[in-house]
This record gives sequence, C-alpha cells and structure tokens, in this order.
Amino acid sequence: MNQRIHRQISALSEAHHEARLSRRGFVMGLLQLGLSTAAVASIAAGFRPAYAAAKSLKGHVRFLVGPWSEGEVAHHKHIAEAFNVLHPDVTFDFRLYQWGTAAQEIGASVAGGGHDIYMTTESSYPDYQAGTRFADLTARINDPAFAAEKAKYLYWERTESYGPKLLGLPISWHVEDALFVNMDKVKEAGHDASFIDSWDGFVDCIAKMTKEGETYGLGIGIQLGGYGEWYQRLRSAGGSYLTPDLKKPNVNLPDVVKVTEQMADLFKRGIAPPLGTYGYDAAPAAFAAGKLAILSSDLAGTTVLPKKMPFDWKLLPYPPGPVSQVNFNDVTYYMVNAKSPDQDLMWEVISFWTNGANDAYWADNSGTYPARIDAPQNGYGTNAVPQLAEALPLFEKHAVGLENFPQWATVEGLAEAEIQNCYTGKSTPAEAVANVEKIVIHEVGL
Amino acid sequence: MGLDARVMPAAPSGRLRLAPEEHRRLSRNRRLKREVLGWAFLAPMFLCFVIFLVLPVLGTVWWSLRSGGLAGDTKFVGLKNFIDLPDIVGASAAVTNTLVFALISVPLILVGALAIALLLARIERGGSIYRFLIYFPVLVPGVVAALIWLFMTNVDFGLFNGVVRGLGGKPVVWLGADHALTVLAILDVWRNVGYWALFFVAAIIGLPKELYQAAELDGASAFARLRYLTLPLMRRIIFFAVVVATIWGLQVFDTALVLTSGGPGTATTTVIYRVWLYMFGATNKIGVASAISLVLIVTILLLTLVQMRLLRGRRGGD
Amino acid sequence: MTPTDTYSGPAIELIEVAKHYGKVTVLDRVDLTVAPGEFIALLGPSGCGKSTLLKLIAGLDELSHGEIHIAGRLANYLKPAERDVAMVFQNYALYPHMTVRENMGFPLKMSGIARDIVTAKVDEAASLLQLDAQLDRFPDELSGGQRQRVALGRAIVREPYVFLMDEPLSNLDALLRVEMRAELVRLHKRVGRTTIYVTHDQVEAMTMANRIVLMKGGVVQQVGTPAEIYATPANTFVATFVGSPPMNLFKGRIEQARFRGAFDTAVPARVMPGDVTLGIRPEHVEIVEAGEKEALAATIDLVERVGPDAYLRLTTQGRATVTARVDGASRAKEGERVALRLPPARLCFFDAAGNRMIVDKEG
Repeated sequence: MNQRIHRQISALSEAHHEARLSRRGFVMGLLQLGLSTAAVASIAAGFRPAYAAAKSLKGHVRFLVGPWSEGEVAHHKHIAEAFNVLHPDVTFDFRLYQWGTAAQEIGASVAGGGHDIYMTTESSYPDYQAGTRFADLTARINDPAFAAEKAKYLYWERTESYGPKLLGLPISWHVEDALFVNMDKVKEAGHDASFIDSWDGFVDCIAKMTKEGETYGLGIGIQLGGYGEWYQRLRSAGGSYLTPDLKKPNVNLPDVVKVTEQMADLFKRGIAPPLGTYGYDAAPAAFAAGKLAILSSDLAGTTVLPKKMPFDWKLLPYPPGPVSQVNFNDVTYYMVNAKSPDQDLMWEVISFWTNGANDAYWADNSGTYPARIDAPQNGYGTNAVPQLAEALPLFEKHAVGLENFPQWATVEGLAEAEIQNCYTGKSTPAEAVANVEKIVIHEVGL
Repeated sequence: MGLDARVMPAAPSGRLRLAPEEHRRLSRNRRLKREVLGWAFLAPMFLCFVIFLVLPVLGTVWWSLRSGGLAGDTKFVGLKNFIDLPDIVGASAAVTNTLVFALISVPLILVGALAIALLLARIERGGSIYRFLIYFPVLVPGVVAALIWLFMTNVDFGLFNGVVRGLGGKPVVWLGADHALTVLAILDVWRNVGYWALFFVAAIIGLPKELYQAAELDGASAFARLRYLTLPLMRRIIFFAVVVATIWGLQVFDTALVLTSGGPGTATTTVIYRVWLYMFGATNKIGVASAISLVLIVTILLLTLVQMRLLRGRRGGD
Repeated sequence: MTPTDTYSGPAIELIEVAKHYGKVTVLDRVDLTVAPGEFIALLGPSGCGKSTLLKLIAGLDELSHGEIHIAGRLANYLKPAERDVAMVFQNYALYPHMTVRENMGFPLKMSGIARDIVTAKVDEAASLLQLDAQLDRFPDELSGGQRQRVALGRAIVREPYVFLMDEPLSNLDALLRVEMRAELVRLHKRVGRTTIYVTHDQVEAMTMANRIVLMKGGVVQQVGTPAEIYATPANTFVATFVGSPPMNLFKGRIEQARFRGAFDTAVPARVMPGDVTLGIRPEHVEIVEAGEKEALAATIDLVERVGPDAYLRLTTQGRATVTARVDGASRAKEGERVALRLPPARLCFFDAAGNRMIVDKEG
C-alpha cells in the first residue's frame, strides 16, 4: 500500500487524538483521502504493528551526503521541513563528505556509528553488499505493502544483481559520459543530431568542427584519471572488466583495442585537445566559450553552465560501438547505518526522501536524473536545464551500470588513467588495453 | 630535604659524620627526585610521540597485513600485500615519476635557496621585505598553491601562455603529458625555495665574520670563499636540508592531486598518489595502501642513511 | 715575488687617515710612517680606533679620508689580497673544517702555488713554529697556544710584506702570553718583516715594539720608542696609560722655581711659571729621612707587596696622594709616618691642556 497515504492517515489520527483536530475535521480529512484507501490503510496497519496509527515519530537523524551542488544542504533542509509538517518531533543534521575521500569518510563513519543515513554511490555497492555495516532493508523493500512504491524506483534489477540483500533506496542515476554538443557548430559542419549514429559520422563532424587555434571538435579526458568515459567504449565493444561469471577478465578483445584506437586517433589527428589542456573545472567554460564544439563530461557539467548559452546545445549519448550503443550511468542510494537505534524512523525518513515529489525536487536542483519514474509528474525539470529532461529517454535507452565486484571502482580509476597513457602517446592502444587487463587481474586477485 | 646539623648523629668512627649507608640513601633520594622530575618533563612529549607517531606506524603495519577496508570485513593475508606490490601495473611509473620529481625539484630548491640566501644575507636595508616576499609562497597552503598554478598554467588565459604568446610562441599545454611532472616540480620549487632560503640565511648570518676577513686577506675570491668556506661550514645544515627536502620531495602529493589528479594518464602519478588512490579511491584497499606506505617509509629511511654516509664529514661548522 | 722586493722607502705611510661612521669619528687624521722591518705597536684602551686602523691597512674596511701607502703603492683601492699583508686575528680565525696543514697552506693555495711548493713551505713554517706534530689535526683539537701558532703560521707562509696582528695574545692565559710574547719577538727578528701589532696591553707594547703608537679616541697621542714613551710622555694621558702603577700627577702652579700645590717642592729653574701639572713615576719617589732637604712629611695608607717590589700609597700633609715604588724587602708599615722627596731631575711638567712642557734637564 501507499506509504504516503498511510502516513497522512496516521498524521490525521494523531492530530485527532491529541485534540488538535476536531472529530469533524478528522472525518472530513479521511473523506478527502478517500474512504477506500483509508480502509486499506487500516487493514495494512494490522500487518505492521510498528506502524500503529497512534505511534508518533520522534528522534534525531544524522545524514552524511555528497556535495552534488552548492545547495546540497539547503535542498535537504527543504525536504526536512516537509517531513516536519508530518512529524514535528524529528530533528535533522546534515553533513557533507568530499567526493575524493567519500569511500573512506563513509566507511569510517558507518563503522563508528557517526551517522544514520548515508548517500552512497553504486560503485561501492558490491563492497557494502559483502559487509554488515549497513542495515539490510530487503524485508521492508519487498514488503507487499511497499510493492506499489517499489515499482516506481528505477534499476532494481541492477541493485538486486549485487547480492541477496537490498541495502538502499535509489535517489538518482547519473550519466558519466554524456556529450554536450554545440548544435550550431554541428550545423555549420553540415551535420545534424544524427551525427552520433555512427562512429565515422561522429569523427567526420568533429574534424569539420575543429578550427586550428580556435576550436577543438571534441574535448575528452577532462577528468584526468577519468571516470566512465573509456568504460563506456569498452562496453560498446562487447567488453567488460570481468566476464559475467566474474571469473576471467574480459578486456583484451580485438574490438576493445579497436575502439581504443579510435579514441587515440582523435588525439593523433589533433581534433581533440591534448590531455591537460582543459581540466574538469575549465572544460565546461571552454565549451560555453565555443573552444570545444563537443564536451564529453558527466551531467554535473550542466549545473555550472550558464542558463542562457549563446548557441543551441543538446545532451547526446556517445555513438554506438562495434557491438552496441551504451551509456554508462551509476545509481545513488540512501542507506541506513545498521547501528542506528531506531530503524523504523530511518526507513520512514529515506522513503520520504525518495518519494516522487522529494526525489524530483532534489534531482532537479542537483543537475542529475531522479531515480523515480513519477518524478516528472512531481515537478522534475522546472529548475534544471531543459536539455537534461530532453535527453533523459535517450540515456535511459542504452543505459549500462557497473559490474558486480567489489574492486570495480579501483579498477575503473586505474584503467582510465592507463588508457589515457595511449592518448598521450606514452603507450599504444594495444599495450594500454593489455595493461588494463593486467590491472583487472591484479586488483581482483584472479 | 636538607641535612639539618641539629639532627646529625655524632661521628661513629673515623672523620665522616654520616654513615656510608646514610650517604647512599640520601644520594639515592636526590637522584630519584631528579629522575622523576626529568620524566615528568618528558612525559607530554613522549605521549605525543607515541600517539602521533608510534601508534600510526603500528596501525599501518597492522593494516598492511590485512585485506578489506573500513566499511567491510577485513582478514589477515600475511605478506601478500607486499609480495603483490611489484605486480601492480604502473608501479614502476609511479616510482619513476617520484624519483624524477625529486631529482628535478630538490637540487633546484637547494641551489636556488642557497643563491637567494647568499644575496639576502648581504642586504642590509629592507631585508625583511625581501625575506617576506621570498617566504610568502611557503605560507600558501598546497591546495591553494595548486589552484594558483592552475590559473597560471591555463592554456587559454594563463600567465605562462600569456608570456609565451607575448614572445611570439605557440601556446603550451603546461599540464599535458610532456610537461606536467616538470611543472609540478617547479611548483614545488616555488613553494619550498623560500623556506630553505630563510633557513640558509640564518645559517650564513651566523658564520664567523673573521673567517671571511681572513679568507679575503688570504686571497680567496668570492667564489673561493663560497667553495672553501661557506659550503664546508654549512655542510651539516646543507646535509640536513638535502635529507629533509628529499623526504618532502618523495612525498609529493597535494599539489599533484589538485593540479593534475595524477594525470594526464599516469604522467604525474607518484607513489603517495598511488597510496591515496588505494586509500581513498577504493573502499577495500587499505592494506595495499599501508604496504606501499611502509615500503616508502623504509626506502626513505635507507636513503637517509645512505645520504648520511655519503655526506658525513670529519668536521664542519654547525 | 712582488715589486716590493726592490723598494727601499718607508714600508707603510698613513696620510691623514680618517674613518667616520655617520657622524661618529672613529679615527681622526692619523699620520704615521713605518720603516721596513719595524715592529710597531698600536696601543690604547678599547675603542681608541687601533683595531679600525689595522683593518683599514688590511683593506677590510674602507677609509673615509686620507691615503694609505704600502711599499710605496697607494693601497686605498687595492683589495686586501693585493696589499701583500697578512693578518693574525684576535680569535685566530682558523678555518674549523681544515687541518692545520690546510689552514696554513690556504693562502698559498689561493694564489695558485703548486702543491709540492705549498707542502714544503707549510712544513718549513711548521717546524719554525714547532707545529710539525699537529699538522694533521683540526683546530678544535689544539691548545690555545697551538692555535695561536697556526694563525701565525698561516701568516708566515705567505711571506707577506707586512704582518698585521690584532691582539693576538689576548685569548691566552697569562703564562702562555709571556711565552708567546718572547716567541713573537724571536720570530720577528728571524723573519724581519714589518709588523703592526694592535694591543691594549702596555707590557706587550713595551716589550715587543720598536715603536709604540699610543691612541685615544681615534687620535694618536704619541709615537715613540717604548723608552721615549715611558720617559717623556707627550701628555697626561700617555703618562698615566703607560707604566704600572701610573705616574703620579699633581695640579698646581710654578712660582720662583718652586711647585706650589698640595705641597711645595723645588723644580728646575727653567720651568716656566704658571699653572702646571707635575708628574713623577712611582719608582722615582724617594723615601728619605725626615728633615732632609725638600723632604715632605707623609703617612703610609697602604702597602701593596708584589714580590720584588712594594707599592706605598702615601698621603702628604697637604692631602696629596702619592704612590711610591720601593724594594720588596722594605719594612714600611701602614700608618707609619715617613718623609718623601721628589727629585727635581725626575719631574715632568704638563701645561694646563695636559701637554708635556719641554724643559731642559739640569746639568
């Protein structure tokens, strides 16, 4: 059953019991909610004595969250205010971790009981699956009463593929390898948005948009050390770090070498700026200034671009590879510390934080995609740049996530850096790919 | 406690007024008091030493023998983390980058600092202003320094390329694979040269003036005075600087993180950067990070010992 | 070795040499001519400018006015090394990181002399200074006297035209100082080089120097042989600075060949009448029988016995204090009443400004 309705009924009955609401007001409220749902609610309440209608939520909740945007804490406070309308006796505290040290900050905090609710990324999920620090939410998520709600979250298949336990509720999914495309320059080059339908068309367009000393066709590798950019090419070539049974590396394939060569060629031809020309922070500015016709970046780039750009631009996916067209994205979750004393309260909080309206609000203000299918009906897209919402179906279509082994994040970091060595001419694409396979073998311990 | 003449027993035999055992007891008391006081003064320092140095090193040793991370479960794996180190892809690149970095930055820092110090020591008026200006970069935190340099090395509007363009050259990708490590080393020189310069100034000012007058009379040119007097007299201080600057150089990290994130590719990935990658870029590699750290600590210790051997002089000014 | 080999004029000429630091005058127009081979002592209390003068000669400091000529060459604009002078510093200024051999050989090495010649010269100097056994030691392994000799050795090996020495013995203990004094004199005789020796110790100056330049407040007070300085001090400052205990001085007037002041005594007839300061060395004060001609009654206040001599502090009836040097065996006792006589031939006279008045001796 719908938890929100359940909560609203609880709130009404609470108010009635505390004589804040007259009997008449209580009945009218119930009527407004709909008698039928009220009836279902009272039956559902019988299943879960912990949710006795009269029980009031009380307590203090400590969040450790990632800095998605400048307003991260403000966004949470906004949601907390809404929560306090229903449960005034719950207080909140929000702390930010840094992206660079996220894994260790979260690890240390959860081990020491420092916070109750954590914003975590998918790349660590397989590792958390193996541990016992985070609360197992499987029973709550798979509770028949939650089934209707569960159906509104994206990517359960992926989350369930990491192991038997469900540890979190998804908040967002984030495309790591989006192309920010200056459509004016694409048109000048005699192409349209279909230039990304094939690698050859893609390269032709990039080459034509490149004007020496003025504009580079494609800015890639702006995250020195990289994240997800080459991984997406690897998957498009039918490769992956490990085979699906996680027993062997699956990197050093002819098609993978081929797509890597294609990427390296962009540098050789001088249509991509040498690595080191634009860093992660400088690249969006270079795109906005027309120095990069296309910028390859994660969606967070949308939050730093000016709202009004002097040219028409779109978010597009990478062209298809030899095997398939893919976009790499990763999911963000709320997880609960197993040490937190009031697990019911935490569940209430994270399901409230990820309901359609709140998820829409948070994702819209953070330049990323909500993990709820009902977010668009709840106001998603009113604050973010329109390009985001416009591209959502495209990215959703070919989305792939990471693989299910705890060393994935380590491998990804080392592999992207190793691949960049062939972009700078320090190694050949074949050597770089072979090295990535060695990294996989060593880090996974095959 | 003092000896009170009134309670002193009469001399039992011989001419001493106190029995030998009494003398022993009193002197033992006195020694004990001194010892207790000594330890009391030493205790806070000793405690800090244990808490901030001994325990972390022991912790590193403990972690280096385990797999897993803070959030997951760990298990004892013996020396596996150490045995696997040479197999790490890019290990040799990280070691090479670290050594190249130190080989560029340390000599430049020390020679530069010495040259600046020799000039500063001669300035009589306005010296403190020059000293402040030269010391200023030292006061800038590494991350801020890296950000300043990020602007200066910007390809389109940075100061460096502004100069290059002014001289009619083509813009240089300063943080590209070919130059990034050198830029990082020069940044390190920029940050540290002032520190060592002031360090050397203090030493130079402290050198006996008569020696220089004597040398001048003995016909030693300015260069000969530097070669035969200043350098040998500052031998120990220079040696100290070489050791410490090398240790710092081998630990370069914060600027590499902000300026280049270890890239492009692995062009500026240093040993400590790899430690950081394993420590913070992954959830379950603390053991490997600890193992690398220990190897680095031992390497630095050995290097210091070798340097001590090489530079140990029979004699020299302090 | 240098053009000085054929030169036969004065070794050093100082003409109106002055040094000011801002408004402070450290040296005021010093004129001095030093003959070749002379041993000159610059003597004076601390702050008199003697060390400054030495540094100016060495070229370690720039002079504000005047000319310095060394071996007939104008030295003002020569670097220290070009002046052909060697200096021995008060604290020796030995290079602590060099052995005795390296220290002594350093100036030769700097002038680019072949290594075997350096070795030979250092060995020669070392044997002259009895340092043969210490050649491979470092300065901090040597005694004070040995260090002193190394400093001398470093100066000697250069065979300089002039030796400059800045209170070289002041860091030694009393016994060693006496020993080294003799050694320096012996060395000077042997090497025969012009030497300028700065000291505040009158005994050193008196015993070692051919001539003494006595300075005070940057001004030369008197230049003369030790005997001249002692016997005929140019002014009251010289009179009291040289000699121990210092010369007795009494203020008064000369009238009819008699000194009238705290006491009355006969003076040589040729002394001009007027205000004077009368001086007499303690050893010239005679203790005589009472009633003898020109005897002055006095009381012994203090007897200081210093072995061979005894110094008596006497007070005359006119409340003048007189110091007399008598034989150490004297039985003089404090409180004893005695008579003393000031022999007219031994008297010195200084005018109102304190300058010596020329008086022809009697007979």
